[in-house]
Amino acid sequence: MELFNKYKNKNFAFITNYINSCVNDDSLALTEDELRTQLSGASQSSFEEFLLALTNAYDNIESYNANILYSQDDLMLPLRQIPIPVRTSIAEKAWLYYILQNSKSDLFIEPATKQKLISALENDIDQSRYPIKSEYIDFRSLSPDNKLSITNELSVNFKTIVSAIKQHRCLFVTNTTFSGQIYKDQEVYPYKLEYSAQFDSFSLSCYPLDIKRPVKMNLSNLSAVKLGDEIVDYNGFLSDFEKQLKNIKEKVPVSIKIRNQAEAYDRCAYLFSSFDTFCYDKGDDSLIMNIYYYRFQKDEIIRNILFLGHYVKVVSPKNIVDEVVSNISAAYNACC
Amino acid sequence: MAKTKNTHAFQNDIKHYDKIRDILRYLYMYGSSSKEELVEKKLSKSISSFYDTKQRIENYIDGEYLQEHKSKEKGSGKKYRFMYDPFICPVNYLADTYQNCSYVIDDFIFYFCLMQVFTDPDYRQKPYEYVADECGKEYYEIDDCIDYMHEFTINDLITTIQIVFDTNQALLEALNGIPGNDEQSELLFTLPKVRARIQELSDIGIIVNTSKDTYRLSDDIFADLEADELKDVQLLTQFFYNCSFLTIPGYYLSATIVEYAQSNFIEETDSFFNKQENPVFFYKNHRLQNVIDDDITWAVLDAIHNTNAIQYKYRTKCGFLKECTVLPIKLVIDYQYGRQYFFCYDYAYKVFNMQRLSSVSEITIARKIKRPQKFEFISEKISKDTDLHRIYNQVYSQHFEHVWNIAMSEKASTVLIHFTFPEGEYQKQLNRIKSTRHHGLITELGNGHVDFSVTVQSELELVPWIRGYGAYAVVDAGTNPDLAAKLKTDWEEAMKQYGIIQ
Repeated sequence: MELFNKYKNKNFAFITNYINSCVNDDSLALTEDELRTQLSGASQSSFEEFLLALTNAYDNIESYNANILYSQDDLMLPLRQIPIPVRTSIAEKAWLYYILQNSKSDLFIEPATKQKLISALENDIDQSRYPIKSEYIDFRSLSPDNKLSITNELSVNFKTIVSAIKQHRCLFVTNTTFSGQIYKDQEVYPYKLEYSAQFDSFSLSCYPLDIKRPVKMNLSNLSAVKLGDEIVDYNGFLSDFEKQLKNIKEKVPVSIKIRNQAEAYDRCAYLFSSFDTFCYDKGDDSLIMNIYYYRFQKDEIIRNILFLGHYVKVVSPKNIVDEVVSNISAAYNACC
Repeated sequence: MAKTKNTHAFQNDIKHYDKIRDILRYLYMYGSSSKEELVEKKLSKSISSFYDTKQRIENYIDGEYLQEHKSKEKGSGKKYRFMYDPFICPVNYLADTYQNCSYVIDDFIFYFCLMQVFTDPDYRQKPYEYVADECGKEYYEIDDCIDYMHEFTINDLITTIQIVFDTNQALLEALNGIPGNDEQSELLFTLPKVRARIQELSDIGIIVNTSKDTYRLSDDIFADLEADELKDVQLLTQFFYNCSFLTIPGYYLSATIVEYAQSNFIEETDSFFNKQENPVFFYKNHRLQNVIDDDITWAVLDAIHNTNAIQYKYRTKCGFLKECTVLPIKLVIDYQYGRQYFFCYDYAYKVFNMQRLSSVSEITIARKIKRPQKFEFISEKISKDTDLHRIYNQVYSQHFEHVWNIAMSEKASTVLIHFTFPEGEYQKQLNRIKSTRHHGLITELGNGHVDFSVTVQSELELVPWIRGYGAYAVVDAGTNPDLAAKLKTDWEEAMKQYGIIQ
C-alpha cells in the first residue's frame, strides 16, 4: 500500500473537481485555454501529452484521446455527464480513525458527528488494514505533565475563539496571567490560535484594544470568553497586526558557527528547523547559520545554543554573544 | 497534429519519492547549495540530473516559499532556501510535493472511465440524456451504469467499461467531428491491464475486494454527514495534519473532503485546487522536514501492523549506503529534536537497533524472511493465536525501560541534579523543569532550591538538557562523578571557544 501513488496526482484531483462541478452547474465550465492555464505544471513533454489527450487533439491512430471531455461553444464539458464518486483511501480512513481517538478531536466536532464517523469507519470492510495504532508508536514526550486538560470550559472557550477568528469578530476575555494578575473583560481582536505540539498547549495570538500591540494568552488561563461584534475593516487590522509583528522581528540575525563534528550540523538544523534560517558553508569544516527571529524567541535561541554545547559558537550580534558568554561563565564557575 | 512521444525529455512527475527525498531534505534543512556542492555530497548523481531535480522542485513548490538568491562567493550560481516563518506561512508546503506521482495516459483514461460507471441507485442518472437535444440520437437508454454497492467481477467490468469508452468515442465524433478508433477499447481494456489497475485501486482502498473474484466501490464514510458537520471535520483534519507525526494521509484527506463537498454540497469555489487554507491556526516549532519521510513512516507502520520484515538501504554516519533486513517493532517519535525512528530487530547482527527514518530509502517487504527465522528473538512458543503485538510491546519495554529520550545503554543509573533559582526566576524555571522532566522526580526544597532525580539508561543523554539551564543546574558529583566531570569539561571547552580561558 503505497502512500505516494498516481491516483493522488494533482491532475486526477483537478479533473475530478472539474467534471463534478460541470455536472452540477455547467456555467462553471472553462474554455480549452482556461483549462490549460488552470492545470498547473510547466509545459514539459509528458504534461503536453496529457493536455493533448485531455483536449482530444490526437488523431487516434498513434495516440489515444482521453474522450472524457467534449467541446461545445468553446467550452470543455464532460462527455459522460455523471459525477465522479469521491471516496477516501485506506490511508485517509486509517489516519482519521486514529486522530478521532485523540481527545482534542472533541474540540472540533460534536459528539454526534464523531459517532457517525466512528461507526462508518468501524464498519468499513477494510478496517483490519488500518495500520495506525497507538500501541505501535512511542511518543517520547518531554514530560507526562504536558497533556492538555480538556475541561468543558476550555472546550467552550476554544469553540468561541475559533468562531470569532472565522467570522472576523472581536472577543471579550478574562485573562489570569502567569504572575497572578487578572485582566477582566478585555476586548481583543483575535489573530490566530497557536498550537505547540511539544507542550500540547494552545495560545491565543491577539490584539487587546487597550494595550494596542500583539499579545499571546495561554488558552488555559482564559475564562469568560464571549463573542463580540464584527471587526470593522478586518483587512486593515490584519495588515496592521502583521506590520507590528514584523517590527518585532529582529533585523539582525543571530549568526552561529557550527563545527562539522559529532553530527552537530544535523542536531543544529533540527533544533532550528522551525526558525527562518539561512546557512552557508564557511569552508574550514564549519557551517554558518543565520537565524532570523522574533524578539520573544530570543530566550529560546539562547537555550538552544547552550543545549548544543561547544560545537556551536555565536558569532554575532554582540549582545547575544555577551549574554551567551555570561551564561557559560556563570555555569563554569558554578561547577568548579 | 499528434506529437511523438519523447522518452528522453524531462519528466516532471516521478515514480518514486526517493528521487527527490534527499535533495529536498538537504535544501530545507541547510538551504543554499550550489550544484557542485550537491553532487559532491552525493545528493545528485550528476550535474544534469541536478538540473532536473531542481526544475521539479521549482514546479512542485509554490514559488512564494522557495527563495532564490545569489551567493557572495564567486563562481557559484543561484542558490535556494526554503522560507520558514510560522506567522507568514503556516502552511506545510512540502506536503504539496506528494501530489506528483507519475502515471501514463492509460491510467488516467481507465480511472475516469471506471469512476463514471458508478451511479447512485436512488438517483439513477442518465449520463447521455443531453445528447438527444444535441444530435437527435437517443443515448440515454444505454444501461452501462453500476450501482455504488453492486459487486462486479473483472469480466463484468471489462464489458461495461468498453461500452462506456466506445459510446464516448461515438459521441465525440458526433459532437466534435473527431474520428474514433474501433480497436482502441479492446487494446486499452484487456484482462491483465484491467485486473492490474483494479488490484492497485483495491490496495489503495478506492475499490474493495469483497470476495475472491468480486469487487465494488468502497463505502462513503461521509454519507450521513451534513454540510456543516463536514466543515468541522475539515478544520479538524487541517489542524491535525499540521501537528501530527504523520502528515500526508491527513493532507490527502483534506483534499478529498474539498472534492466531496464540491460534489455533494454544491459550493462555489474560485479555485478547483485545494490550496492549503488554514486561517485559524499556526504552529509553534512547526518542523516540516518529517513530511519528506512520510511514505517511509507509513511503510514501517504497515510492516509493524502486518508483522512483516522489511529490507531497505540505510545511510550511515559516514555517508555510505548499507543494506539492512530487519523486523520493525515500534515507531519512536522524539519531541526534543523532532526526529523520527523505529526500533527493530536486525537479522544480520542479531541485535536490536534504533534506526532513523530519515536515513532510510528503497524500503520493501522482505519476503525471504520466513518463520521461524522471522521471530527468532522470541523465546516463547508462537502459535496461530499468539498476539504478536503484545510480544512486540514486551520486547520494546524490556529494552527501553528508563531511557531518557532515545539512547539505550547496558545499565541504568540514577542521576541527581541540584537546581538553584533566583526569586524572580523561580516559578518560571520550575515550570520549565516540570514541562521537560521526562520521567524524573522534582523535590522543592525551599529558598529557591529544587532537587531533580531520574533513573536513566544513558546519563550522557541528559547533558544537553542540563546545559540548557546554565548556572542554575549542578550535577551531584558524589552520585554521578562521570556526568559532573563531563559537564565541567563541556563548560571549559565553551569558555576556551570564546577565548575567556586558554
